Amino acid sequence: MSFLSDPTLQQKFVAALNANAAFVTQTTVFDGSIQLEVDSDCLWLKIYKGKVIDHQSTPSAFGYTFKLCGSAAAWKLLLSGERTWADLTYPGKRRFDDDPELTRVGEPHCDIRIEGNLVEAGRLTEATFELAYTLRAVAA
Amino acid sequence: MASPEAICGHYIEVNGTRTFYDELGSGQPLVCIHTAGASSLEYRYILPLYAAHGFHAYALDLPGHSRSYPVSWTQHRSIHEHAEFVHAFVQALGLENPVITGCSIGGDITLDYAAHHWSEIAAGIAMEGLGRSPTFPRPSHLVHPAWAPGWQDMMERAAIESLGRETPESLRQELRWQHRNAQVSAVGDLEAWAGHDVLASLGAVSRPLLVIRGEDDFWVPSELVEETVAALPQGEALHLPGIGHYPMFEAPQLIADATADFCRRHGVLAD
Repeated sequence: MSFLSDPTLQQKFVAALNANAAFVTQTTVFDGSIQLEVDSDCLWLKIYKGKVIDHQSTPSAFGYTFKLCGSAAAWKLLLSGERTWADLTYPGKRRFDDDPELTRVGEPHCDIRIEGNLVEAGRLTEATFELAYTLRAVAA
Repeated sequence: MASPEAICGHYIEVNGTRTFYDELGSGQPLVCIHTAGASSLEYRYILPLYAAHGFHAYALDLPGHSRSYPVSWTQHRSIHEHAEFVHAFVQALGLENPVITGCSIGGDITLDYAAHHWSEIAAGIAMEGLGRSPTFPRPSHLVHPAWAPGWQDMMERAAIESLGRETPESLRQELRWQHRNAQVSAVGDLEAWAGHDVLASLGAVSRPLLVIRGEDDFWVPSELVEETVAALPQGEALHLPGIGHYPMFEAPQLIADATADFCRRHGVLAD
């Protein structure tokens, strides 16, 4: 069980997103859903016209528009402030502690992956950054 | 010391395209190259500091960026194209033995310039640049807005998130605006970064080269900086704590002093 499975955190997170003016603005022209995955834990967020109008901790029968998924260790790098959202989600191997011979330079590695409708995910880039940093603030 | 308001803007024809550059100072020529999708504005704080050290500084807008038109209405898609354009810019201005400096793709351009024209430069200062830089995949799919409607935000976030962690909000906003003028050319810039590799040519560079890296910059692995410096006969690395991907913008005094000190140690700049 990861931090994402905590119902209290889920409620606070949804409330914080709806109180985040930048997130509201960036999702004003959106009718879809974003699913967060931390290891095997899940949080589905239904978003309509700038508001999170529903959420659940199991996959929805309606599916998702796109999802943000990674290991608990990767999400911890966000929550601790050690790494930025851009660093965690933009592809490319940029750390070589595990590869001192630099044999893996150029690999398209990603710590937290964005999957699903990538056109919509791209359109919601700014909203996704706001979502990530709102989660960090709530989980702190 | 001169203020940023003393910087004088000019236009010059280079390779048939109208090219903008800022100029300040007198003395040792120093050519400054900006980062992907940005412009000479990134050097507005540091140009007076360079001038105070005895540099005659020139900061151009690369083709397709801000006030410079692209060559033949097409963005450059390789570091070498950019480097050859900067070389043509230097020739058009009649500069002799300039110091070449640049940041990010500008750092890569500095190294490519050195690899191909090392005998024509006095020294090089590559900030956040590498001998090879495949630190993310080629972003060719981002070039059409219909394919990637979030590209502007993606690029702006890529820029401001790689600033030093303690960078003030006002500078973050300024840097974000500096990246709002060249969305099309920025794709070419980043394709160029991902495909850049002059590592094997750096062994021939018989000029002093300083490679500067901010330790908060996640785009430029320290291991690849060391690899770059090891390939340069007169290479030197400078790692800066608390600095991100834009050292000349984040810490202009520190970078101007480091640049001048390096040039003086190598006899490029008079004491």
